[in-house]
Amino acid sequence: MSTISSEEIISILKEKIENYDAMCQEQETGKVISVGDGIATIYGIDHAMYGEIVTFENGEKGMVQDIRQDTIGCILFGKDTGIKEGTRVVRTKKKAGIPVGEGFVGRVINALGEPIDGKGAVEEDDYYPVEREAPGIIERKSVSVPMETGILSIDSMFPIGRGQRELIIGDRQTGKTAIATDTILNQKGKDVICVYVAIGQKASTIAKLVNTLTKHDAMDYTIIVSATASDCAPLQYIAPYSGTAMAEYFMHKGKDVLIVYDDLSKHAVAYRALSLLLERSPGREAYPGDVFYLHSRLLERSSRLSDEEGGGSITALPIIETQAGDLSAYIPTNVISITDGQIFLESDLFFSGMRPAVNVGLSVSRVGGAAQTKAMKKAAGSIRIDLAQYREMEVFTQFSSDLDETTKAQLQYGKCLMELLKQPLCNPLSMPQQVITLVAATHKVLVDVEVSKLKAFQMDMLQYFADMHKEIIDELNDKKVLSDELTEKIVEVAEEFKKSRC
Amino acid sequence: MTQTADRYGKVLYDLRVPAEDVEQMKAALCAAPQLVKILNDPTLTKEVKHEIIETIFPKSLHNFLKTVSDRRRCDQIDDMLESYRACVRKEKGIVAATLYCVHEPDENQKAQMEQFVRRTYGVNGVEMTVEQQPDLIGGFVLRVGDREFDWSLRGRVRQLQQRLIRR
Repeated sequence: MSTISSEEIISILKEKIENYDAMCQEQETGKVISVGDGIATIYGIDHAMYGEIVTFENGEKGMVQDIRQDTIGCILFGKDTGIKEGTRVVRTKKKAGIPVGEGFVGRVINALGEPIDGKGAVEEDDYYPVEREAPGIIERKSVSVPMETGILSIDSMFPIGRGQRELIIGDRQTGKTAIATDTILNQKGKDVICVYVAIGQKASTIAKLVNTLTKHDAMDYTIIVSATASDCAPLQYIAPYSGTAMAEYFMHKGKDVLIVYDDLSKHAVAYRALSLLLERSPGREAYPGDVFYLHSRLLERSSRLSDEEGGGSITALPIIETQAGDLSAYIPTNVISITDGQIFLESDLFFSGMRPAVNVGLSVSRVGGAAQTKAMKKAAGSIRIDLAQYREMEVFTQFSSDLDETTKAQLQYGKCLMELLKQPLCNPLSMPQQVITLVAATHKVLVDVEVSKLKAFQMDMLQYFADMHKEIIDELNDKKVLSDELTEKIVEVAEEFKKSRC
Repeated sequence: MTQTADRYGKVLYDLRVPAEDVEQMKAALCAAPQLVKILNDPTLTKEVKHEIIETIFPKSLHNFLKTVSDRRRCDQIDDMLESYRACVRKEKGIVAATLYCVHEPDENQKAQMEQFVRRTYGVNGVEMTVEQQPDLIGGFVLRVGDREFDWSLRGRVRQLQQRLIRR
């Protein structure tokens, strides 16, 4: 960038000025009456639409958010320092929108679609409105293809389908973002475009995430839309809508898109700040009355389109941060009721070493079951119930030491399952790997392995399968069905491996 | 303009008061700005104010002004008159336009501009006010309501500036 000489700049400017064709502008104008806290009140521009973009004399942009009898309230997408009383405002007659296109893949952009990663301008293919109506009933199709997260506990018990909206909810520091990043990493080579929308995050966190994604070559199919904590509330407010507009572009092209909103509780807070400044009356927890609509209209845009519409999909993974595990606060209940299920992460589990800290009892996926591959469905079978029984029985162990053999066996099996569900960061498992693990576990092959060595045993076993019995993995990949013969074969090979190890 | 002033202005128009009387009232208020202050003064009684109104203003406006002063809306009289004028213009089918320019336009230019406004808005006449604004550098800005037709040098420079700095 620094290589452009001053002569070049001057010649570019000269060319621009020479080719400049002055036009008589017909504009609708108004004047700023008051400005403050990122809100400008304007007199004039009587015909301005709700959500329209207006430009101020100094080039700053704003969005009409409040229309009254004789004034217009605007939120500003930038600093309000250059705007004074009497500043001229011009209508653009355009609704807020962002440029979209293939060129944005692998880039970090702000909520207005401007690149902020210093890699130069982006070639845009189209201009999409930030707010767009969600697809209707006719345009949709039911969810049938799995969106694999690569996390054993989620893919086996709470499967997510393409076009589903699955909430990730939990306290701070419970690994919410980690689940989302792992899911993005697992989409490598699966022809899925990922959009990560960071709302009110620390810039350092986003930089770290970009590093992780780059290290695992995941930036090749990922777009990051960032509105950091230092960005003004209006930018934080429109960031998820911009991200969705970006995702819609790819969905309309027939692609599958995964979008992560990290996190919607901060989005609600930004919207609350705006609403209060616009003098809308506060309701519960000081949120405005339309905070439910704020999230419902956003998440409703995630869908699986029918074949006539191109068959693309948007899978949404909204993230909500709870305070001290309180699921019954306003925003968590709202978003839980909007989404098609939730993954509940618990700090107690997290600190007891169970990572990902998924609470099996409270998490649920309402539509993903239909999308789960047959092999996975069969392999996962009863582990949810087994885990529930284990948790119930675990309580008894604290009271008595002498237990009968069956209970002991069941406890050992439960412990082994819990250990298998632990998974380190950035280490997604493929579908065959998960199926093999589950089959080996449910057929009690792994029960007598020492719990502390189980994780290493599992990894070695999977490696053994990949090296010596590739046909099993290939069959699972091709047919996605777990026949009885295949089950037997997996158990046989697993036993064989165990023997070779002992 | 507030909604209240707008309503009073419309009422004044509906009263069908002779236009000269309204002009006379305006002139009186312009000549003695302290009148508004007196009519709005809460320490004076209604009767005193009514007396003042009866002695100064034309008869057809007495009741209107008495109501305005009783409700203590006298400070909004300017806005009321503005709304009244808008009603009159609407009836006659004309629009108000302001021309900001560096040099006063000649008759021919003025006529052309009026014709342009008439054509664009489909109206019978134009109430043109000319205001000199040297900081336009050159050219003119024609303003009708909220709409601005910018053909000034300042506007063009601003356009060029926007184009150059836009990302």
